[in-house]
Amino acid sequence: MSLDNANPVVYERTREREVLPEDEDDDIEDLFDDREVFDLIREINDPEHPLTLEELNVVDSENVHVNDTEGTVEVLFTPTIPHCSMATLIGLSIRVKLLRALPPRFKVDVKIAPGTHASEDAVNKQLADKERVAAALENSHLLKVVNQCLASKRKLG
Amino acid sequence: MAASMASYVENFISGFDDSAAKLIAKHLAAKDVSWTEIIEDLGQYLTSPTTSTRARATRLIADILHYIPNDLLTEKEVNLLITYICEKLKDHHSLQPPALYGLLALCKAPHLSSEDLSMVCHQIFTEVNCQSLAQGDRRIVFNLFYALLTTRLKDVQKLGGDFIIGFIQMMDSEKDPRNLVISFACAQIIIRNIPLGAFKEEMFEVVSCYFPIDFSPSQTDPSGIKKEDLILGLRACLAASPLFAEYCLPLLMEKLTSELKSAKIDALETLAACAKTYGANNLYEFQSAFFSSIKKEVFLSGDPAVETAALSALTSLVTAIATGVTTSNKRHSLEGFVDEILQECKNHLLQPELMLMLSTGRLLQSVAMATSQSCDQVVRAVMPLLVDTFNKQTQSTPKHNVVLVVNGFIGVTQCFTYSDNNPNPILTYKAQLVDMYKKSLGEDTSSIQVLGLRGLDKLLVLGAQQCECTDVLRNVMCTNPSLAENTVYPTLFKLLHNENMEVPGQECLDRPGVLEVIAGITKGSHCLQLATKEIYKLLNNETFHSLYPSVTKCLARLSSSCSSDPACLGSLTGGVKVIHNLVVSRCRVEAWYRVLSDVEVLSNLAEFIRHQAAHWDHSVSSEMQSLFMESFFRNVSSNDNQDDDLDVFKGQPHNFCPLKASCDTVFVSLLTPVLASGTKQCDHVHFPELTARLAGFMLEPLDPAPHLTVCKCLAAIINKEPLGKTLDELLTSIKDKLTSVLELQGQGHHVSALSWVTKALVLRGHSFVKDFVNMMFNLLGSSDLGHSAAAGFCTLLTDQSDVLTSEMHANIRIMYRQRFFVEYLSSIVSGYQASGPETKQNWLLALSYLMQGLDKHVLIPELNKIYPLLVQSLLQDDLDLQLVTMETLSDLICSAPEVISKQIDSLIPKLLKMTTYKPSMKVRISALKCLAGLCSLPIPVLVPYKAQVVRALVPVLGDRKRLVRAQAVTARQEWIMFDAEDK
Repeated sequence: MSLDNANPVVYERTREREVLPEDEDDDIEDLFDDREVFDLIREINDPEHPLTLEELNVVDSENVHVNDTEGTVEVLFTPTIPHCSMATLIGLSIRVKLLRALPPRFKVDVKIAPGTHASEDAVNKQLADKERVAAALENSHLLKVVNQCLASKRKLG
Repeated sequence: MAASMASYVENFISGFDDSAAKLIAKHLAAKDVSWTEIIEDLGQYLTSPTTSTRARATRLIADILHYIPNDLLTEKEVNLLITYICEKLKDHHSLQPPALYGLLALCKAPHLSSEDLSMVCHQIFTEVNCQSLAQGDRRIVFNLFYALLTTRLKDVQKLGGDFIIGFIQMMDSEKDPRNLVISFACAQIIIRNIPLGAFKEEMFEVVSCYFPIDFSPSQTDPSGIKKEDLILGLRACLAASPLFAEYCLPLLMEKLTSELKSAKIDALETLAACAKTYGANNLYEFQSAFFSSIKKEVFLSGDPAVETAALSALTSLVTAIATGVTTSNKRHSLEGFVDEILQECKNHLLQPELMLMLSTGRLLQSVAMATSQSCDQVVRAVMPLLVDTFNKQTQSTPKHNVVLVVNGFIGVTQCFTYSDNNPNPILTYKAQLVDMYKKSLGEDTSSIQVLGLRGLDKLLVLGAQQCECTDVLRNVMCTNPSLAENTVYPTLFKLLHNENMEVPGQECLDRPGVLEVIAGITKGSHCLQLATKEIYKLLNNETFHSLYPSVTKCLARLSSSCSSDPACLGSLTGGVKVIHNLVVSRCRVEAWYRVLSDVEVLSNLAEFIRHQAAHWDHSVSSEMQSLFMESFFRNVSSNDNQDDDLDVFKGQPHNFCPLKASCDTVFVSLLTPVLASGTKQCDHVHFPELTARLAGFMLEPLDPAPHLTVCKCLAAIINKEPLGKTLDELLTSIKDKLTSVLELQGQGHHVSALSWVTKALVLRGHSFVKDFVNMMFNLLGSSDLGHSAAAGFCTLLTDQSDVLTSEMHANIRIMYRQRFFVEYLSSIVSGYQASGPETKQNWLLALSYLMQGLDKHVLIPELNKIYPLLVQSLLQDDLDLQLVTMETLSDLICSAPEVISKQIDSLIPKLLKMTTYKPSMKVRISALKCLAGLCSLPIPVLVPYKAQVVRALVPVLGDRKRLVRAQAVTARQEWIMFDAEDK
């Protein structure tokens, strides 16, 4: 299989979130924020490259919006090139990761950042359709690929 | 008015008065007269049969046009005038110059329409034969084009090819330098902005025929055109478009072989300027040829100007190649090109005795300077070679050359910015380089030393790590003692004495930082002596009270690093005396007391003594011991209870008296290392009395910190006391006292005293151990003291850093911890079973301390016995116990998976329950970590629980603490994926 984008630009990774004293205080409740959700998805592996979505700038912290009180999460991701055939798979991986990692009270939207992909609407529609996502995960081959994207780095290495 | 106009005109035509144009322009601007009137007045002259009169009249119009303000004319007027003047171009040839002059003015008018512009150009191209005009008139033509190109580029672009070919004809065979400067400027704009199409070769020819510029201005030339202006103008034209590459590159190749030095330099500099615009694709074909020529120039020319030009051309060439799209063809890539260069040059680096080596160094440095990739590639190829060559050389000149070249490369890397992900390639070789520089510092030749220092300096700028700087400084000072004495220490101590160290805008070490540096750079007896001399003075200076923690820390570090050197011990022992004197003489002054009794300061001072005391020989050891014993005992028997004014010392003896006054007991921590660090026990006359006193003190209700120091001191002594009657008596008396106290009104500090004594015995494996341990076991069942007793097991089995260590020659039986475990495990298990519900957790806690840090081979055979207790521990409502137990469990999951596998049925529900344990997030996190850890067990063991765990962790994903949530995500992820195929 030939690569869609053989020579991608690699971006720097963000530092680990700093642990503040209030994070270790039992009496303070921590709300879900943008950074927390970004931390959940930034380590996802790209299907084509041995790099994370963060390193390829497919996801960045600016494009993750979380509202804890209303229980909504919106993730906009940017495929590396406008005709990237992997966009749906990347979106699916982000969706599955959040499905597994967020409490069920959150309504999660995963979309392509406007104007960054040739068939933006089609992909967005696929990702928003719960039935289709569920059906996709029934497919054992697809599930395997998604799991590979979600596998933590240390296992691969 | 009309009449005066007519007379102005007449005067001008007849040649009397050239100022008429200015006057008329003034009236026009003021709208006193109209163009129609002027043309009417001019009518007769403009149509005159005499050519010169017609020319003069045209000249007047042109002059007026130049004098009036730019925007005075309306579009219609401009159109009329242009049409009229263009007609004049077709008239007699002598009318052309004034007509062109007039057009030049009109072309600057803002109301010039694009049709008119096109007409002007068209008429000039068809009617004017530029080559037959005089120099000044040709200049008008070029100025006219320049004005159009700079102000009306859009309209000129519409003319396209017509304009280009017209301009080429105008410029063709121009020879005057003044005109050339303008026409090069025009050509550059044209090449950049108008598609050359079919005329690219013609355009190139008309410009490049001047290359290389050969022009020497005469002294009297009024125009002030310099050769440089022409060269730069022409170069800008050649570098303006990548379309010229196919013609220009062969031309440059040819000129590179020229005998003329200036031509060579010009060709090289032009190559440098063109490479970027021409781009990688055009250069691939020529890269090798250019490189050979450049190499030849660098190696053979011996002319610095040529070499500089050649090197900068090479840098540009590599930069341009680097912008190329990566292709699979290795020849056509940056990597391929740099590889080729390295192959051709590398071998020269192996012969540092030749001058060629330095030239090669410069050549490769210019390649490296091009881009960070090329820099990386070159540095990685070259550095190992250079370091290797340096190590092989025995003579100083070749070494000198190698260091010179290495320094150059380090300098080159500083041109680029690096990040943590993309580190400077030099840093890969840091260790070898530092080593090389250290060797060069050791050379006899001063020039190598200087180079070595410079290199180190650069290297440190790259790494900027204080520890490496101090390393270097330490080494430099070792070879140059005078530097240390005259510069380094005076500077540092001046900094210390300088209260206001903040220099605005400059980052500076604070005073604790300076002390850290002193501790880091000091090595060898000479330096140590210099440093300690000053530091001991600081200790006696009360203005430094606030710095005491740092000063004492510095001393402790010095003692730790220098004690093993026998030559240093002298300076260090001096310090012990200083400290002793300080404590004894100043401890009744309140300000001094506060500083000296600070726990941190005391522990630093004790560390200072401890490190060196282990190296004292017998006589020093005896001397110190008697010094301390004397002062510690001096006032014990006397009974002076003089009143003191100070509140702190109310009811305390007047003098230092650590074994009597409770406020002084903290200073026992200084006594411990003096007495208990050596191989041999103290044989001072007061020694038995000392132990007795300590044993007594141990049972008194002191503050926790002094109590701990007393316990530690006594434990250290007991641990070393030779077997015999003295020890037995001492232990029996302690045991009796403890038993009676604990039976009556036992308190926490009694229990901790007991555990310290027990620890001293357990370590050496004394026969009394059993009695003492049993006392502790009995306490575990007590409802008041049980918890302290369990904590006592922590004291008992945790290694200390400041007392009872092997460094201090403590008496430690090997595998004491394992023996203890094996011996007492069954007692704990049975004790647990026999105990009441409220004390069960004490037994469990004791057991958890027993297992901590224990070798797994000892643990595993007993695991079946222990495991139920572990599970019980998880159920206890004791935070410490739960945390410790889960830590043990995590260890066991890795080290004894088969045992855990058998018990997983009971374990998983308990861990899951703890993931929602409200009071403490630490417990929740530990439980989640354990759960995640379980995933390393064999898949068949886990599968039955997968659904349960994955479901049970959903609520934890919404935990109120973020750190817990993060752990929950990891654990759940592991459980979802453990059976994924790629595992």
